[in-house]
Amino acid sequence: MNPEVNSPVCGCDTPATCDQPVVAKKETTVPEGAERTKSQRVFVPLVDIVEKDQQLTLVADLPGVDESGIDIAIEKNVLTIRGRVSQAIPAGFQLRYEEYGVGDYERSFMLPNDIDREGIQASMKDGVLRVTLPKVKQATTRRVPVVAG
Amino acid sequence: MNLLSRFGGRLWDPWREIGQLQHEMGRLLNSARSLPGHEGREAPPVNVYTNENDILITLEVPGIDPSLVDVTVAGSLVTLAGKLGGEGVEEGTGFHRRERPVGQFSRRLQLPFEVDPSKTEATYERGVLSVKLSRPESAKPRRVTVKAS
Repeated sequence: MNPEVNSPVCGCDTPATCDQPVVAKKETTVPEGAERTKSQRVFVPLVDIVEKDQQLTLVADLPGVDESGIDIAIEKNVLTIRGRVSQAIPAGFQLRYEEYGVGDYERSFMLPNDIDREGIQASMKDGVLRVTLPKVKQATTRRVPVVAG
Repeated sequence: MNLLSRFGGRLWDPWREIGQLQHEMGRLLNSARSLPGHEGREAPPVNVYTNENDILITLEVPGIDPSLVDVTVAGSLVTLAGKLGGEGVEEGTGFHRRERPVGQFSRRLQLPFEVDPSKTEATYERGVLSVKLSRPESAKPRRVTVKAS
């Protein structure tokens, strides 16, 4: 962090953290041997996963992304969320002080077997993605009677 | 393997690495502090941009209620406050993952000059809060022509 840029903005003793610790975004790791094709940074979005009644709800924070920039893919039992930011730097402005990186988002989740793949729905509002994953209705186990003989 | 591919195609920037380390430390300290009763003491990160006439402060706060955001300008001090994670946890819900920050936040930024509060504009879009402040005439960059004698 460049102190010259830092000091005029925040007046407290620890400008980087101000009066409260700052939540930093975590960048994704590229698997060994693979390379990124774009120079854009990619972050891991923070998520909440909530289970209630007959469904799982996945809530992800993707600030800077709107509904047109979201891509949700289900391949085999892996759900992948990708988000593209609309605008990295506001037009005509120059970055002076940076606490968060602006970039795309990507994160994958293993789906449990009892999720109804066809019933998955997603909505996006104010940078928050909400994916509902309903469970399969007929999760009754079938017992096989064992006959002595 | 060359240096470029090792770092995912980007040029390695030691300043950014140090900045990220600093943020990670803040995060670690914060997780130690986030015991019951200290919930939601995390602050969202800010970026500051400038152009000739304005200063733009952006804050990543996805999913907030913009009507509860408080932007205060007093002299050269700008305070941004609000509440993250508005929706309450219903009865009978179980969290499998809970990463998104919850609770009140407040960021105070000290600017190098006083701003006119009446010319401040705040917008909330795609989970990013933007506050545009107008530079006073005295703080605008000025070109000085050199006279030949």
